[in-house]
Amino acid sequence: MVKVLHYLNQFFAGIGGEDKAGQEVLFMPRAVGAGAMIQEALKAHGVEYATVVCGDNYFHEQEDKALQAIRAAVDQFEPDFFLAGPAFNAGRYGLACAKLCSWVRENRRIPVITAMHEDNPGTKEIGRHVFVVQTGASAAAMQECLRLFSLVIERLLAKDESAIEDFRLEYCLPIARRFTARSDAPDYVRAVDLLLAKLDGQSFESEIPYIEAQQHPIPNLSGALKNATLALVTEGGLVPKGNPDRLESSRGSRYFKYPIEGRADLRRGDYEAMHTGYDTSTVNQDPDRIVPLDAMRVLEKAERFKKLHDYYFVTTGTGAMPSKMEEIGAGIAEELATSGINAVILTAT
Amino acid sequence: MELELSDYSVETLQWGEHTSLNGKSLSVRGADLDEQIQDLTASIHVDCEIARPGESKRIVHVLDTVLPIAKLGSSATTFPGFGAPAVLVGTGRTVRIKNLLVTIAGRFPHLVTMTPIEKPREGIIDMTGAGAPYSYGSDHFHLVLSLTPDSSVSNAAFDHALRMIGLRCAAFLARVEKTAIAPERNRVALTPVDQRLPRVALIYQVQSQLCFARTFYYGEEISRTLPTYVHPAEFFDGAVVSGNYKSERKIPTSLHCANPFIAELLARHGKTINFLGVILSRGYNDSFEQKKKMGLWVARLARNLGANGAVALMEGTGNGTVDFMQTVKACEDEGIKTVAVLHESNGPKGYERPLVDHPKEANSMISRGNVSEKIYIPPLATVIGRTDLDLHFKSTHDPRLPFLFDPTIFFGSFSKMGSGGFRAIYEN
Repeated sequence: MVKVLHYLNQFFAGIGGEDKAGQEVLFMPRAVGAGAMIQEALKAHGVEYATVVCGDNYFHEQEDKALQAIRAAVDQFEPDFFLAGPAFNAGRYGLACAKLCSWVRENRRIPVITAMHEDNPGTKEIGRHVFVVQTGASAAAMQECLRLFSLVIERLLAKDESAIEDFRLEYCLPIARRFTARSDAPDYVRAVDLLLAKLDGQSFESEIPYIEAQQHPIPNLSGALKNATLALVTEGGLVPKGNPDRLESSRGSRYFKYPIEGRADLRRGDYEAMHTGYDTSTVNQDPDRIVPLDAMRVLEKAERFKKLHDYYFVTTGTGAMPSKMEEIGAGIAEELATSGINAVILTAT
Repeated sequence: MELELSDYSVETLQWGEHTSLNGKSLSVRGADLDEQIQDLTASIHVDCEIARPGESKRIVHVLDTVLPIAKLGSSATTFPGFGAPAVLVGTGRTVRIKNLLVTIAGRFPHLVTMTPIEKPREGIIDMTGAGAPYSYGSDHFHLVLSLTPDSSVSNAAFDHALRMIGLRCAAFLARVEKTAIAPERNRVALTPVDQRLPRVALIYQVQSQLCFARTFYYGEEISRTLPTYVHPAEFFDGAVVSGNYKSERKIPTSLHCANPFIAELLARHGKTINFLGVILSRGYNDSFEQKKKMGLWVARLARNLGANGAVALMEGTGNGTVDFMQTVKACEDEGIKTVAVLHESNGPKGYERPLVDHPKEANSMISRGNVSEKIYIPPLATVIGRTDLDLHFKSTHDPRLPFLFDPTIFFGSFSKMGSGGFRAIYEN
């Protein structure tokens, strides 16, 4: 007996289109829509098939609730295989499939299989050991995709490692992601071996690829500095004492702005640095050393520029993933741009 | 300069009436340990427990591990600069118990008064199961001292006490009476070798920022200092001691004393390389200019030693990576071929940039694996240490329950992943 749980959105479950995208999580103890074909293909194994459905909008607007309900379905049904999709190039559906497959794999360690097009944003949320069958952009390839779902399940049931690997190479999306694996020797042995090869002029390969950093050229100020409004931005984690908004001290996920209007400087004791990446004792002694309000007021008074923005912006630039920091940076930049700011002093740690 | 090592190892460890090593069986009398540390523990409660490789045990809140080492037949001491006026080490005879650790665990008394950068990070050691390949020390025997300070102890005093407790117990255990066993003898020396062999230095960058995140050399905090030359034999005698509680990235004191990079370079000395010794440098300098200068000075020192090549390793994460990369760049600019060893942070889904800083000169790197990948961590039968795990200030977790986390929850995981042969690769 093989238990298969299949996740579908409202459309592929036959509930309805965009008008039904708010559909709450629904558990059905049977194959629905495309699932019927997989159930038929696997019938020699004796299949117990169930379907869990959720509307695309509901999943994204109420993600926590949706995940909770789907997890409950998984925990109760205890599937041997978890399928999601195919999502083709449907972005919201693809994201839901990816997140669910990742969660199920991490927590239950059963085989998980989804399918999508290479441009689907869901490809960015695929966890390790998730089979992602490559599809076209449209549902025209549905039949072929369902055949592949059945095929990989057959191979997994047969525990045929080389056939499974062949499946990966032939049918799965090549998503370039780096994960931990075993090498043939400890780091200290490989390091000396690599050095000897390098010293000997032999060809050698770095284990960590060089990825050129994205360049962010500093734009020229349009107009004269003396007419410009400036803002202070920092990733140094400086917040009012007591950290009222609970800015994280590492792996930051948010940014805040705090008022500085009418202040000559940031007084010691009124602020503290929430940051695990640098020695914050200097900044806690004198908060102006990370948000240089005192110096800016002198320059403002001397009319070197027109005005200092009434808020400073802060996040914590440590331990976080670059993609999250890019999001935060874009958020701050957008707020600044819409506030009529011409230039920024960005203090980094 | 030459150091003779008398190495012992244990196969069984248990409590006993006397503290002694009989064959490969070590018995420890609790009262003997108490006696070593009684002047340090007036306001600190100590629970002693044993953990052996393969046992279903999880040691929580680990702060440091210390290798039992002691000098034989001389007035010198190991761990110079701690407990007695410093003398030069790295010569004479040193006795070690190679697979035993004195493991200091506990919580600081006043966590709320610590700034985020001062706060220790959780570090656990799983002796078996999915966590063992990520836990430094999972292949060692442990004498675990769990410390519970009362509120009269300041954080700084606790920092001092826990270090002294570990060092004293380690020196005491190395000196125990030994019967029915002859040591394995090893020599640490940089004897003159064929001058045609490539001349290789080890660049050894430690984290040293402030109290609770620092490293000592002869008892001095390695901050705002110039990089210096250290003979490998000095490491074996405990010249470098950890006071850094950033658990996952930490090089524990026992790993400074028995570092596999130093051992590997010594083993190849005279065969395929001419090992010149170690350049000890500090990461986590405050400004980019300082980081750059640290790199320049390391490169100049390596050049003055006559190095053609270097292996570089570092203790730390993003901030220290910048000092490290400046060092690699400066060495390559000086014509010293350099191989740098580092962990990667590719994110839980594996698609993030591996390193926060990567100049093109760092073109020959060794990977220790993706430290931000999620692992399912099952429970173990026994937990040593009573309170909940601190999941890096985000939440707490009952250590008796399974959880999903990345390798940063394990003590010494970055070093362990490397020595265990982990690396990151592209996977489809």
